[in-house]
Amino acid sequence: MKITVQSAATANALAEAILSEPGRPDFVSLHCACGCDVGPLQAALMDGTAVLGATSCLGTVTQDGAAPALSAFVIRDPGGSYGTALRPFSGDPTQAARQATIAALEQADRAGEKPELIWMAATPGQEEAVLAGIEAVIGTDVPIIGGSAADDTVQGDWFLFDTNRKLTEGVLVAVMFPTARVSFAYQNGYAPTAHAGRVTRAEGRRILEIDDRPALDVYRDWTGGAGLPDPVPSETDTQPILAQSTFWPLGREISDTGGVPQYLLAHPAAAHGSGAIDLFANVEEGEVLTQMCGSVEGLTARAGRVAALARRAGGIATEDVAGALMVYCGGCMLGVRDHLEDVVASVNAELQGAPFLAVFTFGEQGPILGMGNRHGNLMISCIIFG
Amino acid sequence: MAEDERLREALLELQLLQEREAQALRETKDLLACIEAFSMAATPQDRLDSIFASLRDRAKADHAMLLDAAGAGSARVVAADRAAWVGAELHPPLDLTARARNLADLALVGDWGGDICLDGYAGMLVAPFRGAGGDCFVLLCLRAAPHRFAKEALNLAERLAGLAVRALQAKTLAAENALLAATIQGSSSGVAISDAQAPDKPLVYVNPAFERLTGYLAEELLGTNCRILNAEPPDAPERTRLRRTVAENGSGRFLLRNRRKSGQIFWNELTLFPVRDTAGTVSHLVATQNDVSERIAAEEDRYRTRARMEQSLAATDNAFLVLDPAGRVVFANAATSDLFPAAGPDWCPDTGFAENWNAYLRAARTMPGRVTRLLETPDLDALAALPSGREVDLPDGRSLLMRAARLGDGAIVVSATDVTPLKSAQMLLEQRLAAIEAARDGIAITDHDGRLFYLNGAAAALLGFAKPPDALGRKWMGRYVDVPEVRVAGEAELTLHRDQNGKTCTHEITASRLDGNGFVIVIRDVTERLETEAREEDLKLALIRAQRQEAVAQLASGIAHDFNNLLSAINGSATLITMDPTRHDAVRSHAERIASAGTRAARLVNRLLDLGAPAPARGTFELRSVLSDLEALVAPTLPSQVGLEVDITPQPLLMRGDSSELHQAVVNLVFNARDAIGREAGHIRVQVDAFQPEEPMLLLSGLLPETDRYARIRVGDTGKGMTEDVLLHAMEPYFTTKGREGTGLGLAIVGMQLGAIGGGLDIASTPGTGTTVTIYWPCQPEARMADAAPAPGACHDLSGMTILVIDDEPEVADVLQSYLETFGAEVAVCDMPQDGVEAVAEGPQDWSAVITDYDMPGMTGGDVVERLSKLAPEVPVFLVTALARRLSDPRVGPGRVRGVFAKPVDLDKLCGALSALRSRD
Repeated sequence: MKITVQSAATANALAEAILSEPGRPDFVSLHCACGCDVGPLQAALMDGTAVLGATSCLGTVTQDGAAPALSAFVIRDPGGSYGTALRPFSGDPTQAARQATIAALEQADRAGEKPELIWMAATPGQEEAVLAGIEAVIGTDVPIIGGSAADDTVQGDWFLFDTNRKLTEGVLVAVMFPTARVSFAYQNGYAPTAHAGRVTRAEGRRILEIDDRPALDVYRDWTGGAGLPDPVPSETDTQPILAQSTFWPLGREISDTGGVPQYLLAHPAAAHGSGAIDLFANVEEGEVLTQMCGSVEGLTARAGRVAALARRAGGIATEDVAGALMVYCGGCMLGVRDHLEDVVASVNAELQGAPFLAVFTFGEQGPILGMGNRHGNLMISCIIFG
Repeated sequence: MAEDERLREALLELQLLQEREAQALRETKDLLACIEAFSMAATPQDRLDSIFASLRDRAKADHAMLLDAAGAGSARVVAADRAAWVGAELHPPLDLTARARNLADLALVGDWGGDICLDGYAGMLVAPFRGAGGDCFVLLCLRAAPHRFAKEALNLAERLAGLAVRALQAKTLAAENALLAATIQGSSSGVAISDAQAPDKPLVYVNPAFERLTGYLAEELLGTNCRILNAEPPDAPERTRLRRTVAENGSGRFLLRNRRKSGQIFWNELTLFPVRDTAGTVSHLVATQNDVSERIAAEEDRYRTRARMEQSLAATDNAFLVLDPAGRVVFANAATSDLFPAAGPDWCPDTGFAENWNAYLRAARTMPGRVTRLLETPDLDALAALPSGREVDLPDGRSLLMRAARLGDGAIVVSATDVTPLKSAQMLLEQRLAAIEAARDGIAITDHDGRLFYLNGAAAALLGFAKPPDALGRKWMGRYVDVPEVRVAGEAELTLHRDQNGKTCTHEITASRLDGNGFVIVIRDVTERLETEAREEDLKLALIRAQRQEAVAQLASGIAHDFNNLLSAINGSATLITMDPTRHDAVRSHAERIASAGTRAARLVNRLLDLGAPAPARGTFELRSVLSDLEALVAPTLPSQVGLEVDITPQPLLMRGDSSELHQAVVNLVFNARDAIGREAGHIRVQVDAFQPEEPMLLLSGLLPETDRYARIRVGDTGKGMTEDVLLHAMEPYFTTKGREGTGLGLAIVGMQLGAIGGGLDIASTPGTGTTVTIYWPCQPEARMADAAPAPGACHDLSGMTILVIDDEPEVADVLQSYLETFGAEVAVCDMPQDGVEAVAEGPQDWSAVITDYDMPGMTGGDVVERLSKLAPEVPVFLVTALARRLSDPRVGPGRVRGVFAKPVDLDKLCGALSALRSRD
């Protein structure tokens, strides 16, 4: 297996760079800022290469630093099997994900088999249903790692693409049967505070009440107003709070390790004057939410530590790392936007110069030990190929 | 970083690593448990069952099986935890041997054909294992829907696949060992095993067959050396060889005379081979032994038989060659060396076929004939595949029938029989058959009932069959209209008739009895010959009639000739008197009466010329109606390569004479044209039109006056044409160029017929190009002019002309001289033609014209014309003759003379013709 990560300002330049390397690519994960024209890349790779393409908030970062336009994570692995499939939700994201998984396995000529890994992308909002659709095909013990497509301003400009089409709503599944070893980690970079409460009223991704109080009031109390804009929205307004809440997400306890709870985060996205808060993840009534808090330093260093954890978890020596694919929460990235070079440096320090590509997403999916595949916010994941 | 966060991170990593270790430990423990169960199993089958059980317990498989995936597209169950599945075939939709697979949904994979129904199963583990020999096996696990296999299950299955294959191989090996032991124990051959490491190599095992063979019990033999059986003298070569082989722990095959416990001697065929342990040391010697006494006796018998056979084959002329499977000569008789001399190996036993054949080819290339490809590259297997063998021509001129047969043991027997005399006879027969087939006469062979069982093509055509096979089995006599009432019983000659294509054909048939109770029938179509004979007979009768008439005509013409000369003198003198103005009217009146009477006398004399000629036919007919059926009549008689074109003028032509004579004449000319073309491709054209000569026209046969109209009938062909010599004799009776096919009467009779009715015949021919025969048949005159006395001389002016008159009759010459001088000409008379010709030749410029008689002694008018045409071609010549109607000399035809005048000469016309010369000058 050989992995290369390349970036370019235009699709033509990136296509030329990809094709200039010897050997036909077997798999390419393409990520770009949402203003990029990906047509030339689609045309250039329309030769049987499995392609997963998704937009990333303000571009990506690679081993070479920030890549504000287009980047490609390219695998050449003739002995392996790779397949991708893009399907629109068409009102049933679970079914769309199921069909995409079956089609991707067929493209990889591995119909019916369990892959080593699923790498996915979806447009934001239906990630839990998407995970259910994929697991309906391959079971729950195959790791599913991915991130939701993102734009630069949360205006819904994100899109997914393969070599044939672009979709602004749908799911894109890549099945991977690599010949190399694969290891991964899926973590957040936040610590719990002493504040916690039970959700007493919720509708999908909207929390209406915590402990029978308006959720916004509770959140304001827990964060001391740091997670909200100033002024707060009036009763009929809805105001995005994504940037302010980046360091103040809400956590759901999902496991306990040696008496220390582990949390899956939900990122508050908007505050309603009615007292409700919108999240980037589903929350059920009865769930206990813990106020989490983070810092610039923590998020900056977290990327390298997640990469280290992924490498060690798989027992892969540093010199054996062929490349890494990372998902970094777009909200976190916005919080540490001025320190991206530190993020890159932390990963390079861990991987010792091995190529990597980190995409900035509006929702992250990955397996949590003992809990199966989950969708969360403000998460960082890393896949190490070695 | 906050401490609690650092702690949580460390704990998480620890948890991850612990989980990884725990997973590895689980897998290791599972594998260890599997291996323990495997190693504890008592039999290979138990070991296989333990693996299946482990997969059920540890991998949660519902069923497991081991497949032999050697077949493309199919796999066979060789072991399974369900006995019913063993031996079943599977036809998987994917390559099971390509890689390990963890299938989560069988329904997505495709249709699984075969003997096992996989409905109801969702998960499948596929763990292929390739054995050292390249054999590929697959450990397959199934899990019922909706369950699937965990990721670790595939790892376990992959690890157990090799063990399962080894267990299977052990099971197979155990079964083979058991089979081998049972085989040795139950073998009909004696088997004895000795300990190669012990001193004196004692026997450690003998099977029951060995006990039966030797008559000793096992307990009597074990621990002893088996030399006690040997009945050969100790220094016998075979025994010495065996002793040495045993000492060396070697292998070999031996034939020994042994002695049973009972003392009975038998022939023992012993095969010895060593068995080595894993270190490569010979641990045991194994000897298989068989009583081959019967075989030895049979071989001796075969040897004697073979010797006798070789003696017999040596005496035959046919070559016999026996080769062993390796192509070496086992036997070759003397005839083989005779037919295929091979200097050197000379077909000796144990020499190779190839070296013998190459030696033969070297000799063959010095022989006069060609070495054929069959000889150059002999293919005995191909020869053996030909049930009837193959004929081969040798370069020494002989022909062989070669056969070969491949025997069961791979040996091949080749025989060669000299068929040269037979082939010569066969060739002779083929030539005779070809001659019979090519014969124009029909030749057929019948059984005693007259049913045809052979006939040539001519016979088939004559009997009206499209091809000979159509006639087989039919009675030949049934093909005739006048079948003889009495059956042909012996030699017979018959003339029978049959209708074919609307025409009655006459066949002459000769029947000859065959020795073998049948007949040979020879059929000859004599229809045409009979018609020819009939026509020839008619022509001969016509000729006799014509000759008789000719004799009379000759007599009459002699008289007429003399009378005409006399009348010329009388009439001419009378004319001169009437022209003399000094004579008294009464004298001139008498002279006119003399001239008138002379003219009538001349007409009377001319009638004498008709004496002997056939009576002119009376009657009239319309020409086109008579010839309307010409094409239909003659076209069927023409060969296919000869075309016919008939072009008849649309103008009605009323003819006089006998229409059948004209019809027959034209048909005869067409047949002559056909014969002239012969077997070449050609064309015949018949043209009919009206014709009237502008001046008297002399033909090859006949003279046409310019006063009469004729039907001109031209029959042209593209045949071989006539030479000038042939053309000169063409009108003579019995002259023919057709040999026996022709009578030589056709043209002669046509000429006579035309002469009889005042017509004529002419021939134009060029050798190599063709011939056109033209007949002029007179038309019925519209009105006949009254006889009239010659008109008194018109005002002719011959002054200045010098004219030579050549005539042996002085009276005629005198009259001509006087008459011409009356008009101013200067006339010289010569009664000797030779003198006249010389006079003109001496000074052609002195002569304005020459008038010559035809019938003169020594030289005819034709001779005079011919001589003058060469000596003085510019001098005009006029011919006068007393026998104009019989004149047929081609030398005096149109273009050669300026005019022909019948005696008594119409002086006025003659004068006019001469005067015309002057006016032209």
